[in-house]
This record gives sequence, structure tokens and C-alpha cells, in this order.
Amino acid sequence: MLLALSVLPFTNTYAEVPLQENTNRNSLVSQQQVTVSGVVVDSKGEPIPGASVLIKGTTKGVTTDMNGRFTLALSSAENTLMISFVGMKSKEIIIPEGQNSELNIILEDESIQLEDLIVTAYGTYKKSSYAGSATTVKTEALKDVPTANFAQMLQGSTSGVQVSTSSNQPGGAVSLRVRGLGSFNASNNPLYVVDGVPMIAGDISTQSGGGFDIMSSINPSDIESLIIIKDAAAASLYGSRAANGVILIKTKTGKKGKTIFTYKSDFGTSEFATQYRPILNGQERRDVIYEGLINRATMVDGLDATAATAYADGLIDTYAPVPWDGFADWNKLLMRKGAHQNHEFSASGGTEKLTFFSSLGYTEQEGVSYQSMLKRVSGRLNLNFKATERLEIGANVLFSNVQQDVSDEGGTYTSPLYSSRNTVTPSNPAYNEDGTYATWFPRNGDRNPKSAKDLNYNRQWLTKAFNTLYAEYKFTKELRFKTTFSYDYNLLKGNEWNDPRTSDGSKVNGDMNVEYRDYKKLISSNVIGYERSFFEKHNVDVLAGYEFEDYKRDNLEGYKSNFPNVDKHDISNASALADVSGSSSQSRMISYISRLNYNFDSKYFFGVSFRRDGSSRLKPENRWGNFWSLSGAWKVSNESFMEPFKKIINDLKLRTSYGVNGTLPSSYNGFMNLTGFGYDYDGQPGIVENQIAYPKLSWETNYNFNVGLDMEFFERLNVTVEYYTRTTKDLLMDMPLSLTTGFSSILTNVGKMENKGVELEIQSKNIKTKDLNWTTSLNLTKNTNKILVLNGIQTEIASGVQVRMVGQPYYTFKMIEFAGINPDNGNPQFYTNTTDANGKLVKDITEDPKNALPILMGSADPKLTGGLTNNITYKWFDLGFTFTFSLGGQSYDNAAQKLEHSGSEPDANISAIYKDRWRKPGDNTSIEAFIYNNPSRMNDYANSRRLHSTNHIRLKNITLGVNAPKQWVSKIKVDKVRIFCSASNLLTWAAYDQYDPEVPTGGSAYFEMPPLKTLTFGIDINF
Amino acid sequence: MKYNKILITLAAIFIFTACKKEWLDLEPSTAIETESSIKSLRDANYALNGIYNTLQSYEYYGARMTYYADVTGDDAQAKSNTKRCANYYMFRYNRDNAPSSLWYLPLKVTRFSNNILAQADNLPVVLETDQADINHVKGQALTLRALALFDATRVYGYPYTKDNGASLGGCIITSIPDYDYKPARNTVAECYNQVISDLTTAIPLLKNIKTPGKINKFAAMALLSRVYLYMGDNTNALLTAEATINESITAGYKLWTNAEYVAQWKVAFNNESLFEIVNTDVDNAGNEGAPYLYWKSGYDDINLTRSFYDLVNTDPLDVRRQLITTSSTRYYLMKYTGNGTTELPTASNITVLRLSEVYLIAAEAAVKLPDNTKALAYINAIVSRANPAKSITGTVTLAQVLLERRKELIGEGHRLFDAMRNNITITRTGTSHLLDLTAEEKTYNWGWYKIVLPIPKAEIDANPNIRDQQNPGYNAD
Repeated sequence: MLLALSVLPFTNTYAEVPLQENTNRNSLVSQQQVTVSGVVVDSKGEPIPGASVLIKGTTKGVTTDMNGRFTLALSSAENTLMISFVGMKSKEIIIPEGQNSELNIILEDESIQLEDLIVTAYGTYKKSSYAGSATTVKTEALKDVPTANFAQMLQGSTSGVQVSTSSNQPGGAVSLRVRGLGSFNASNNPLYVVDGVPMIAGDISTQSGGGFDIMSSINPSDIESLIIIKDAAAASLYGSRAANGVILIKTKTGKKGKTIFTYKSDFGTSEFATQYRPILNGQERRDVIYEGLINRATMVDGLDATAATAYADGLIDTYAPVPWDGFADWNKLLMRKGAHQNHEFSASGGTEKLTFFSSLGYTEQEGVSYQSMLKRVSGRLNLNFKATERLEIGANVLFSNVQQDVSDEGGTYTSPLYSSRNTVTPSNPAYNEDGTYATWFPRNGDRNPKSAKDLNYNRQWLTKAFNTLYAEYKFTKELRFKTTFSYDYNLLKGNEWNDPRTSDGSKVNGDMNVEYRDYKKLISSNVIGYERSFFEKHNVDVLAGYEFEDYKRDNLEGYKSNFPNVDKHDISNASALADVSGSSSQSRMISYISRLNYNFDSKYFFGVSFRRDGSSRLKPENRWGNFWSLSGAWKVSNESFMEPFKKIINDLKLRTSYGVNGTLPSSYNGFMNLTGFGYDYDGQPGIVENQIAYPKLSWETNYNFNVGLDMEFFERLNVTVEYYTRTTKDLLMDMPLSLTTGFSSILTNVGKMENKGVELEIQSKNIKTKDLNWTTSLNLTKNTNKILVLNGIQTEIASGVQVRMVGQPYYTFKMIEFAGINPDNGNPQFYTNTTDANGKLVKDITEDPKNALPILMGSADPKLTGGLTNNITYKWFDLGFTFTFSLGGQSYDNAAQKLEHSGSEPDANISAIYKDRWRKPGDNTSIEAFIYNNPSRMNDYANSRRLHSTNHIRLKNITLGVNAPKQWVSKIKVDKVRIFCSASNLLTWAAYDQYDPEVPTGGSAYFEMPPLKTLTFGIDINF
Repeated sequence: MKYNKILITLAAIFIFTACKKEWLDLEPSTAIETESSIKSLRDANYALNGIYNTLQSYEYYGARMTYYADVTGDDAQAKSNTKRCANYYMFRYNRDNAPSSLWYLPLKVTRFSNNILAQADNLPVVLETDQADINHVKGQALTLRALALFDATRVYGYPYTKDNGASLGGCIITSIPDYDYKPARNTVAECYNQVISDLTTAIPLLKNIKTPGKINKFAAMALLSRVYLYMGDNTNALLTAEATINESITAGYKLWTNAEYVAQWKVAFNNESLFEIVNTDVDNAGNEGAPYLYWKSGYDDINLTRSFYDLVNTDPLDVRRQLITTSSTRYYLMKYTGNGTTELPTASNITVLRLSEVYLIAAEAAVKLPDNTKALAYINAIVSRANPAKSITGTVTLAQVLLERRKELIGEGHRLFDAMRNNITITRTGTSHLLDLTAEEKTYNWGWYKIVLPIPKAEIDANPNIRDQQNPGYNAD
């Protein structure tokens, strides 16, 4: 035993297990002895070294050796062993009396237990006794998927949450919608709460490249669990910020015991997940333009065949010449296969008094466009110290620095997606014959996307320090006080350089825009809690508190041009000052919170919460809002009458909640009539009245009803069904004004909108044996959004090709209806859709789009979304994969106004859809004839041909890992070695194949960076 | 004892963090409450600057108002159908896609002017000179309000001369509207009366000193003469134009000479400039501004037409020929080429009123009266300046004046209005026009509904009193 102890590496951390060898030795002679030996293993049968084996009721004990073995002598009076190991559930074993025994002890992972807890800022609940609607997302299953922003991992992992990205450049903005769209003009983003403290969230980019999400400053590996609160029961405590749900993020903490070191490293590549707006290559394009010229001559201008050929021959080299170096491949010139790598190191552990978790991470991700890149260095330290029996203090410290480079997106001339698909063609070489950059493009002027890519950059740095200090004091066993103080500091620095050798910089001999912007949020929270059981069966938990937050943003920006040197970009070097600006904005809130939870005998649960918020964003008389919730649950399975079914139905709980929370205006001063500065003229100050305010501007309120049923069968199958309604009243809305007022809109509280839905989650433990574990989970979401009231005057407000209309979903399309191509002449046709005497639409066909009336064309929202996840472990191997799917949604191809030009833009690229064009009378196709300067071009009219189904199934992520057997790794004194490969968006089956089915929120696709397919290989070491 | 320490700390945290109610009263850092925004002469001048800044926007004189009447005529065009001015050039706007700029921006100017006028009489008079300065502020606000209404009326209403102003024009607004204000449109005649009333009130209030980029007495007078000419009041047009010419010359204004002509386009606040929008290299309408649109290396959006080039090129010695450069088969206007201190086109000032136009107003009014002596004098001031070897003799015709206007005022926002108010048919000929123009987009006169813009959808939707006042023809689109 002594020998075994001396080779154990970390025994000294077990201060609480004094090993009384002398006593033991003495007792050898005086008492009857039983020797117990055995092995401690985990659920996979792997031995656990360093586990503590203690004789119950004494301080005697040993720790297991490298093979998990132990031997212990017990006196006759001692018959129970306590076995414990960090991260595992402790176990008690009763030793059969008077025998020497050989024991095989299996410890279960503690994490299984953790998942059943709902940790909110204002208390921790067991899921089994929680009356609200909350889902825990297991980050374990997603930890190997490389992503800069954890929010992207949530797609398909839980019901009721929709994730979309406006751009998939590394670090791009991610938007999360919990149970549909709740607001018109105010925020639709959920509240992000990190370790109990709301964090500044959202897109903080100051540049045009698709956003910079502040969440990309958090290393996803530091996250232990994510909980999504969807209803009012817990969310109402977050009051005015919780109307769109709450994402609770818990970072990792240390546990008492041996210090665990982990090292993880991975690397891989990325590319488009699906083909993206393919175009014709140089020769194909030349052929189609030639055909278009012939068509023009014969079909429009009425020339004979000979004259038409002469006409086409005369013009073809104007529009589709072969460049000096052959046809160019702009996709290749501007895009690459992105590479990424990631290295992380963490240490965690602790003693009885102090626990810690610390980590350091470095991540580098290249985008598929050359200018796009992200680098992150992040560090975290979570400390908790039990100062006295009553006082606990701690700190959560995050520091990270993220650098993001982006390429232009949307319709800017040098944007790689836009130019390579539209404005620069295979007939336009990137270089002149002398090796200089080409500076003339028929459709793009002097703008060469290649030189812009090589020489310009849009770069931002985010430095974030998010630090929380807390102290908790227990006055008595029941009464505690907790105070939390948090400071969230973000410094964003942006550089935007236009080189003199590019079109953007040449006119001013180079220009540089530098911006500093800081975001600061101070939060203080003081809470008193009281928990007690009366007469055994009555359990009460009361909480009251006071909070305030102070948010401030400052920015300073400078813009100079005319640089003497192309390599030195500091603005001091430039001669011409173009602009300097700076301003600040501030928002504050004071809150009073309270809550009461009661349960009787763990059968009947009842909760009530109340919160009062005062905000600086509203007039003093409208400033205070009251938010509350009621919730109740009935744990049917704890009733005695359920006893006979206990074997079949292990758990049955019915729960419901109703409550109100609110949303503030996004604008900090939306309630004021304002006259703004900075409208200067000829170097003199100018002021302009720039806001008129609605006198009664107030909170937007959100009424949430939820009813849910949780069931567990045969200890294998868990089913949760939920139904909810979410009604937003007094919607903050920009009500259109008559322009004669000098204003186009005013922020008011008028609208009303509803989301209704059903969610289903099924989890099944299919196989659970020593070697083989297989679990499957499925989640399904059906949400229906409906506008109930607009501004009270109008029942319909047009918004481009969409319409906000009473009785319809927010994202409803309205446009003229495409009726196919006339097989006789190749012209597009449309349905007139006039209304007849009976109110029915008349489906007459016209070739003149002016004679076609716009009609409702359905919504962008999918009817059903979901995810299916399987996790399988077999001995050393683990395999996990998630499919996501979306059915019944549509997207509008906004780029069609550029790409579907029917030949009217002979200088531009030609979309691959024109491979299916009409060519001769009798052709049945949906793509019109290609005619040079086509008089009836399809890009002029927003029509239903541009609507495409977003139905798809996607293998969202898949991971295969292999653990090196413990016996091997223990020889090099390592606890665990795992190598893995993972992929995201590996396979996609989509109804429409010209662009990715996962389009940005709102269902409009333009030239945004689509989702990427990534492949990753990595290694994970614990020691 | 230890507990006491802790309790004191906790109590301190509570007290320290307890906030006063006023803690929630925050003010914006870049704005003040409108109620207290104009309290002094200084404030009023800053508010005027705000109006000039609004005029400078590309949605108003910065681009759209300046190019609208040119690209809808026969002398300027969109380079291709995807250009910014293409929808105007091709008349491809309808009741749904009509741009709101030329409706909305004049209404903003109207509101801002009314804000000043509402306070002007309450401003404290401290110095002796203050009352004159306050009057000058009032005069500018009135003139700007008149300009805004005049612009809305000529863009959205049919020419006064077509039906004596019976059709609908803009909205007359002389006080500060509440957010739920929803007026109906006024007739063109009512609008002209209001414009004339504002201008005749303004002129005596205004100073005659030249202030760069701002309205003075002569600018208001020149505008008034233009308004009279538009409504066919030729007597008053001639009278006012002559008064403008005579009084301004006394004050130091004069026509450029032939020798000065080309170079003067690079000179800000030159001798014949009555009112121009100031652009500087740091404060301008940006890349959406007219200069950038006319610039070959800018957005290359607006070109001159081949037919206009041919027209000017009939006299290669005409000094104005030098304001056109050619690049293969494209023709570029060189009026916006910087302000003398910088070559950057975006820093070019935008001419709104200049003396040459007043001569041409006088000439046109004189032809119509008729008063051939005066017509000859005023037209030849322009004709002979362009080419000293040339002059008009005999009876001056309207066609001659209009031809001279085309050559002289190209790119300054006149052509469509000039043709329509004189019931001239515009015929677009020449090889440069885009192939996809239809027949009706190539030949049109005041009988065609599209010579006025449709009222923007935003106004139709939000204002029940204008809902049924869409310009005729557009509802049948």
C-alpha cells in the first residue's frame, strides 16, 4: 500500500484524506482484519487512477494507482467504502462481512447529473422540478466542430431556435431567434447571460463586410453548458431584455481534486458547402452572347440570316473577346480553400477552499475569399474561494483579442462574390500584358477586384475584458446574500485601407479610415435569497434584489488620404484630412426583482416572479415597466396512484407558465424631439431637426404562454412536447408619416404580432452496454408568425417584394406571378391576377408585366424545422452526427435583378441558369430566350420566378474520434489521448441548387458569403 | 468582529450602488431638444446652414434635382440601363417604385424653414445690426421655402402654361406640422401664388451682399423672374429679370467674358454666380453627387448625348464646345471639375442660379411679349460671348432662345422644364441613346403623363387626403 501510494502522482492534493499509516500498522496486531482490493473504472471500463477510496465514517483511505487498483485493510467494524473522483458521481459500497473481497467499482460521469440543472442568475433549479420551458444544449457533442462563434453550433441542436448568419466570413454576425420573430423595429436578439451576467452582444462591425459578432470573442471550448430559456417563467426575471428569450452560458469551473491539464489542437480546411451561383465559362459565355446577337438581329430587328451573322460577327469581340492570356477564372482569382487551426490549453482543479479553471486558446481561420480571416487569442480564469464557512467569493475573468479581416459583400464593385458572379467576366483579364493590373472593365469601370483583393484591407480588432466579481454570504443556512459586480469592456479598432494602385485609392492617392470604438457596461446586482422547508413537505424559496446597469459607447474616427508610401498606412503619414468624428451614447437601467417558488412534496410546484425596470430610453412618466410571470407544474409520476406504472413511465410532468416581459426601443433617445448637430455647410456648423417623437412612447410587451409535458419511459426514452403562444403588443414600430411633415416615420407603440408553435423533443438511449452506447435525439419545431395589427391605420405596408400585412406572417412575399416562358417566342409570361366578380384571381396570361398584378406569394418562414442527432461510442471509438432540415420555406433571389438579365447586359457574366434557355419555337423551359439588349428582360421585374424553396436536409456536423487505450497512454503518464476528425455542412440535399438554402434572416438572398463546408483533424490530450 | 466587517462592507455596497431617480435622465451627445434649438441669431444661422446642407444632399440639388430635367430631356442620358439616372432617363418609374427624394427633400426644407420663421420674431436683438441680420435670416428662410415649393410644383405638377395652373402641384405648408398632419395637394396656380408671395416678402428683407453659397437679394430676384417666366407672366418676368441684372451689376456681378468662360467653371463664387451649393473636398454630396455621376472616372453614370454634341459642334469655335470631352463614342460634360483648389470633381459647387440664365429669362420673356430690341440685347449677350464672331439679327424667335438655353445651361437642370412649359416636343435622336427606349420614351410633349413624376407610394399610403390625388395616368400603369 505504501508502495502504491508513493508512485501516485497527485496524492498531495488530497489534503482532506489524511492517510494514517501508523494507526493502521498498530491496528494490525490489535484487531481482526479484512483486506479489500479492487479496481475503479469509468462507465467505459477504463481504469481511473487517483480515485479516492475512503472508509465511511473515518478519515482512513487510499487512492487508486495508475491501473485504478487499490488495496485497503478494514477492521471488522468498518464495512462501507466511499469512492470518489473529480467529475464523477461518488459511490458507496458495502463490503460483505468478514471476507477478503475483490471489487469492480464503476463510477458514473457527473456531467449526466449536471444536464438536469437549470442554472439562472437568480437560482438553480433541478430540471425535474422546473415549471418553465428551457433546453440544455450539450456542448460536448459539438466541441470538435470548428466555429468562431458558439451560436452557430446551436442550429439543429434544440427546438425553438433558429440560427441564421448574414455572412459566413469568419466571425460574421450570427442571429438567433427564439420562438420566432417578436418585434418589428426593436431588437429580436435574445439576451446572452454569461455566468449570471448579461453580456454585450450583437454585431459591432463598423465596416461593410458581413459583420463582426461580439460572441466570437468567447472561446467555445470554455463553455460548459448552454441553456435556452424560451418562455416567461424564468425569463421574466430578466425583465425588459428577455422578450426574445435568454441564452444562459455557463463557463467551465474547477472541481476539487487533482489538477487536470488538457491540450487540444486541430486544423482543417473549408470551402463552399454548396455550389454558389455558378456562371458560364468563357467559351460558353461567348457562344451564348453570339446566339443573343443573332436573336437580336433576327427576332427584334428583323434582319435576314446573312445580315444577322454579319451583325453578330461584328459585335461578338466587343462583348466576349478572348483575353491575351486566355479566358480568366475569376472564382479562382478571388477565392481559395480556407484553412483553420486551433490550439487550446486549460488547467483546472482545486482544493476544499479554492477551485479554479483557466484556459488559453489561439484560433486562426481563413475565409474562402482572400481578404477574409479571423485570429483570436483568448484567456479565461474562473476562481471560487470559500473564505469562511459563510462567505464565498469569486471571480470570472475573460480576456480576448480577436482580429478580423473581411472582404466586401453585397453589391460593391470589388466584392469577390458580386464581381466574380456578375461584373467581371472570363473575357476580362486581371492583368495587362506588361504584368500591371488591368484597369478597365466594361461592366466594372476601373475597378479591378484582383488588385483590391491583393492590396486593400478591412481589418478590425476587438479587445474584450469581461470580468465579474461576486461574493455570497450565508447569514443562516436558509438566508443568503449575493452581490455581483461586473464590467464588460470592449475596444473595437478598425482600419480600412484603399491602396493608390486600386480604383478606390487611386483617385485620392490612397486613403485610410481608422476607428476606435469602445463599449462599456457596468452591472451591479444584489440579491437576498431565503430557502426553507416547513413540515417536511412544504418547500419555499424566496428571492428579492436590486440591480442596475450603465452602458456607454464612445467612438472616434479619422479619415485621411494622399499617402506618400504605399506600405506605410498610419494616418499621420497622409497629407489630406478628410474627416474626423466622434460621439458617445449612453443607456441606463435600474431594476427591482422578486420571486417566490413553492412546492408541496415535490408533486405540486408553483412559482411567481415580479420585476420592475426603469430605463433611460423612455420619458420619465413612461419609464417604469412591470414584468411578471406565473408558473405551475404537477409531477404526476410522484403521485401514489402512478406507483403501479413506475416501471413503464418513470417520469411524467405537466407544466405551464404565463408571463409578461418587455423590449425597449433600440434608440436611446427615441422619446425626444431632437435637432442634431453636424449638418455643416461650407465649414460652418449646421443644425437640422432630425427626430420627432411620439408623446406616449413606451415599452413593447411580450405575453408568453407555455404548456409542456415531460415524459420518460423505460428509463430510455424521454419525450417533451410543448405548445406556446407568444403575443407582442404595443410593438415598437416606425409608423409611416405623410412626408409633408418633413419626416418619413415616427417610432410608436402600435402593432401587435403573434407567434404560435409546437415543439417536440425525443431522446432515446438505444443501446447502453459496457462497450457500446448509442443515443438518438430528435427535435422538431413548428412556429407560425402572424401580424395582428400594423399601425392601426394601414392593413398593408409594402417593403420591397415583401409586404407587412395583417393576418399574414411578417416575412410575406408579394409580387407578380411568373407564368413560364412562351414556347413560341421565348418571352417571359405572367399571370394577370386581376380579381373577378366572385373575388377569384383571373389567371390570364400576359407577356407585358405591367398588366400583371402583384399577389401574395407565401412566406419566407419554414413550416417545420428540426435536427436529428446520433451519438455512438464503441470501446475506444466515438461517432456523433447531426442532420438538420427545414421544410416549407422560401427565399427570394434578390440577385436576380442583376443576374437574370436575359442578354440586356452583354458586358456582364451569364448565370448558369441560361444553359436551360429557350432557343427555338416549341422549347418548353422556364428560362427565357437570350437576346442582346433584350427588350423584355427578366431582371426588371420582381416576379415569382425569383422565389425558391429553401427545403433542405443537411449533415450539419459529424465527428469521429478514437481514444487511445488507457493502458498505453498511462505509460506516458497521460490520462487521455483522443484523435478526431470532424466535418460541418458535409452533405446537403436542397430543393434549389443555385445558392445555399440557409439564407439570411428575412428570406432574401443577395451576395452574402454562404455557409462553408469544413473538415477538421485534431487531437485532445488530458494529463 | 469579522462578521461586522462583512456586514459593513455589504451595507456599503448597497448604499453606494443605490441610485437617484435622475440617474436615468440622459441626454444625447450629438443633438439637443428641438424646443430649445433656435434661441438666438446664431442658432438661426446654424439652422439655415442645416437647410443648405439639405439642399446639398444628393437627393436634392446635390444630384437628383440637378440632373433630373437634363436626363429626361434630349441632351443627357444614362450610360446604361443599370445606372443611377436610368430610371429617370427611361421614364421607368411608376406608382410603386417612384423615388421619393424630390417630393420629400423639398418638404424637409419647408419644415426647416418654418422652424426658423416661427422663431425669427422672438430672437433677442442685442446689437444694432441684429435686426437687419434677423431680416436677412427670414428672407433666406422664405426664399428657401419658395424654392422648395417651386421645385415640388415643377416636378410633380404639369406646366402652369398648359392649363393655367389647374392641375395639382405640391403642398403649401406655412407652419410646423404635427406628426399626424395629412394635407391634400394644392393646385399649381395656388403653389405659384404662394411662391411669389414668399419671394416678394423675402426680397425687401434680404441683404444684397454676396455670401458664398447662400441666398441673397439677387438670388431671390433671379428665382422670382424664373417663376414668372414659368407661369407665362412675361411682363413681370422681364421686369424682374432686368431689375436683377441691373441691380446685381451695380453690386459687382457681371457676365463672364469669352476668355474667362471655361476657367470660370472651376472658380467658386465667381462673378456671375447668384446662388450655388458649396461643395468642398471634405463636405460634399459624395459619390452619389452629380459631379461624380458626370465624371468618366467616377460612376460614369450620366453622359451627354451624341445629338447634343453634334448640336454644339456645329460651331467648333463656340467656347462652350470646350466643356465637352469625348472618349470613343461617349461625351462628357466638364462643368463639374473641382473648385479651383482641388481637381476632385466631387468638390465642385453646384450652380442653382447664375446671371447668364437671367439674361436668357429676359430674352425669352422679351420674345414672348414681344419686345425684340430687348430680346436681341439679352440673347446676344450670351450668343456673342460664346463666340464673339456670332450674333443674332432680325426677329429673335423662341426656338433661338431655347436653343441657346440648351447650349448654355446643359447639366444645370433645365431642359425638360424649358421644353414642357413651352409645349415643345422632345425628340430623342442620335446613336448614343439606349436601344431599349420605346417609341413613347423617344418622342413626347406635355400631353404625356410621364413628364411629371408620380407621387411617391409612401405619401399615397400614409396620407388619405392625397391617396386619390396621384398624377393622372399613373394609376392605370
